[in-house]
Amino acid sequence: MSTTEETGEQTRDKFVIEFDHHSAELRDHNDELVQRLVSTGCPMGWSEAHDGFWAIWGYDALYDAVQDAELFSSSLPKHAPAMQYPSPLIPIDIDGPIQQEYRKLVLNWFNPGHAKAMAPRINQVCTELIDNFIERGEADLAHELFTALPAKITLEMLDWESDNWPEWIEWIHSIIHDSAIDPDRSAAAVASVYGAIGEEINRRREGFGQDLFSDIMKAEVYGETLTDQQIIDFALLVLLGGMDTTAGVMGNSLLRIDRDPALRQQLIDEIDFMPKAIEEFLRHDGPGGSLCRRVTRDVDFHGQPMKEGDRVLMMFWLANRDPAAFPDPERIDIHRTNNRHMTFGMGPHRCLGSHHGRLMFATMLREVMTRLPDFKVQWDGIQRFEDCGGVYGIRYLPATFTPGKRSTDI
Amino acid sequence: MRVYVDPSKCRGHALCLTNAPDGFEFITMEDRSQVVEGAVGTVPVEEFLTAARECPERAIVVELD
Repeated sequence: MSTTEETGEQTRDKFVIEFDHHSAELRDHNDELVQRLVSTGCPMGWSEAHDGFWAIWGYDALYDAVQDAELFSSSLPKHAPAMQYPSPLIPIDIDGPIQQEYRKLVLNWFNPGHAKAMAPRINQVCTELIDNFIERGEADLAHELFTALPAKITLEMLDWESDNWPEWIEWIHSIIHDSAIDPDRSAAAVASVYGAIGEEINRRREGFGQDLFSDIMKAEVYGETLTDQQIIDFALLVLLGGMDTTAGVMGNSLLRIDRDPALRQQLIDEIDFMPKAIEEFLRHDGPGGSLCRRVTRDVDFHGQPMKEGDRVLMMFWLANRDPAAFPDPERIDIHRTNNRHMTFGMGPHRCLGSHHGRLMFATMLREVMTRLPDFKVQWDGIQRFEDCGGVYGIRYLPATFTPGKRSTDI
Repeated sequence: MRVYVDPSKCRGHALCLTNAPDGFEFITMEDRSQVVEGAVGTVPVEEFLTAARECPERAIVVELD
């Protein structure tokens, strides 16, 4: 506590923490980091890293923050450090009523019914991917399964050539994982994606189809179609949201299952419970992320002095480990009740792809636990992204397993 | 008993459709759930209570008699 001389009012000191989400600590000692921050008993703190930002990790504080979109703006600049795309993504970096209008443009695609209708296609892609390696008895489950599937499905929804997914994913990975540690490379990836989406715009102008991208291009907000840049900003968010996050939670979950034989057996025994079981992995082993806000006025928030313009890191993944909201939070219990995890965010910016993400994750985990239930992670070969601050995910996940038959041979 | 989804709180997570499949339906263009007409009384109370407890936005209200 200190006292302001002019007014005599007490002002609180910031609760300062040593913390950087782009650090090796988050990447290599994630569980320890959780304990370090949770054990402070504080719901939030101020880090001096990247010219200073707030991190909120207490469940109740984060719930309050996410519901107050006027105090906690989503407009840029809000990241610490800034991402390398110069133009706000639509609708995640947008405030106010128009943000909801942008969401409406794509609700025909991002709703529970649409996800359900895609289940056969998601099953098919998952089966084909596993067929490609099941006879070998070893695979990089990252590249060959969980990075590939969401990337292919995302491109199919846009009706872009899905065989080109490795090229797209390299750009998307660079935008997310290089922004803080190799900004030039990340900026080059943004330029490449802008160019590639621009080419898709030109191609689509020759004839619209029944696809998400055509709908974005045709859509009108307040009577006006989107500019080419806005179309790019919308499509880039579809790629960023669709490709890397689902992969992240799948990889994290496989590592967790590999270290917990009882959990592995439970998943095998209760394979039909997968649509519910994934909620616990989403809570405990989600893809983290660099979801941010910007404070719009000076305010005392949960006992901390926030200033207009301060950047805020919304640590949804850490709120999911808050013992006040989740009893025994470090225990993985697929039958956990009252599991109001925040992995898809909350409030007006709730993840639009959550229904598809859940389905893709549940499908992949069910198929792995069915077709290669004895998979063994080759821990020496695990490689996380060097910077996991944007998405806590895995680049290479080599595993061995008892070889199986291709589905066509079953 | 009365069950309803507060439209000002619901953000379309749609977990209620998993927890009480016959109790809730989705209004796509409003990105939110609502209680199926006639479901109260036919859907087990426990399903509604689970849906309310698991709703991330705390949008589901169950008023027991």
